[in-house]
Amino acid sequence: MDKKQIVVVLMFAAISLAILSPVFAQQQIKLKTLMLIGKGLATLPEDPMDFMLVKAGVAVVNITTPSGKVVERGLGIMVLDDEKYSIRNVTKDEEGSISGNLYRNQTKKGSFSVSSVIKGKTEVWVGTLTIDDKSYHLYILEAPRKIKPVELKEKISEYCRANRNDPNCRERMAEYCRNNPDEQRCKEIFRKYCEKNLNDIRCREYMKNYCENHPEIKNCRLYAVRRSVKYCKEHPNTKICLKIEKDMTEYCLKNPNTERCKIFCAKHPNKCVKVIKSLADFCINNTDSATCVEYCKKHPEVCKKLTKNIVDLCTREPNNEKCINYCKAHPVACKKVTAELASFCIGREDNPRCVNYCKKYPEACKKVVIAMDKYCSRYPDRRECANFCKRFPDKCKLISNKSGE
Amino acid sequence: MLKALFLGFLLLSLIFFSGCVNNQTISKENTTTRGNTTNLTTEELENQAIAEIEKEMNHAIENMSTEDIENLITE
Repeated sequence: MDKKQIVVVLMFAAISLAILSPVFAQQQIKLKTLMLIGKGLATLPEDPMDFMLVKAGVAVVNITTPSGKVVERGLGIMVLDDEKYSIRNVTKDEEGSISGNLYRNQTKKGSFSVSSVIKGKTEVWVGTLTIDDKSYHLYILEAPRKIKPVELKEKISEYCRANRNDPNCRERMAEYCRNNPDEQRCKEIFRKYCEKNLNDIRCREYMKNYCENHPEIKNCRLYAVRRSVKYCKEHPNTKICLKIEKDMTEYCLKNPNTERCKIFCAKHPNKCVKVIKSLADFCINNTDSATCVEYCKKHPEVCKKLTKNIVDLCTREPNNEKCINYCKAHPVACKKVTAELASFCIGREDNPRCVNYCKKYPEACKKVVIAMDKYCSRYPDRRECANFCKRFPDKCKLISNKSGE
Repeated sequence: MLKALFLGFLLLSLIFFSGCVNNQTISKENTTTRGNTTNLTTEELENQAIAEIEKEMNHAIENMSTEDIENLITE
């Protein structure tokens, strides 16, 4: 064998090894969900000046054993000042909490448990840490971690395998999204994936940015609620939880029939005794109300209940002469704006997302707060009254009888 | 040329099988000391996974700016 042949043999072996070795390595360990990455502090309750710097990373990992079996493990690492501990036996729940045990040299040294809470745009994990028989308060500020194109490919592929009927899931979409991560369809698929995978820090990072631009979307309005459930259960009177509850109440007054609001209103019936409507919508059915008399004098066309034919016409042709006034006050019916944005903007004229919309449709943004019993006694068949009348049948019936309807 | 390719294949197979034999030896050793081959191998893989998580953690934390902390304080 001459020198040339030896070189060819060695090159062939080297190239093959270079190609195959990472493939084998990737198959063995895969970080499926990055649950928590961040840094913060651990303080001793009896002396808060006694503290440790904390860095933590926790993930759900898929491990392929030599026998080919895939096992799922919750693992991680925690660095306390300069001491490293591995995290094992991780448990998580859908209410935004994580706990696990800390090991050093295969020996259990302690444990931790944290719940997440949203403060503005930042997610904070707070809880307790026990190490070497000492208990600390633990505060971890979540680090931003964006999805990488190669990870996006995996997530798109996972979503599209489970949702073959999604029109955005076309052939070779995963590969396409890897090369075009900013393409609208790829973003849309990833957003849908993320709505069900908020345990992953990459999804939370994506949703945070998305919700900044779309605060009216249902999942964005409830984002802070969803991420702070456990924390607010345990600390309901903290400033942040009171604010979250206020937002939730306002959301439920506008959307009493969503699943989450049904649960919320069943738990807090005293908070769901009112309903919020836009002035324009309210006045269609309440022309004689003190709130509407002046308004309906000024805009008689807007207060009229349109016949089905005209409504259909206005939906199809919002710029039709017969519809112009009506559509100015009822942009949702005329499909000029999404129902989500319209509902979000009622009473929020100053919100950056609503400023332009509310200038264009001022009456659709004005808020009217109505007592549920009065409203539902007049309209017991309305969708928003279904739960109220189920919970308080006497109230609905009593006032209904009194008003003689 | 064919001879070269054949030899290359032979060399690659040798590397591959030597890896398998080596792995088996480790497993056998582990069986005698710990009595559970699969667990220990999984444990090694778990340690590798933890090292991966540590890499991720350090990288993400490096990217954390003081702006994130400022936002938290001012909001």
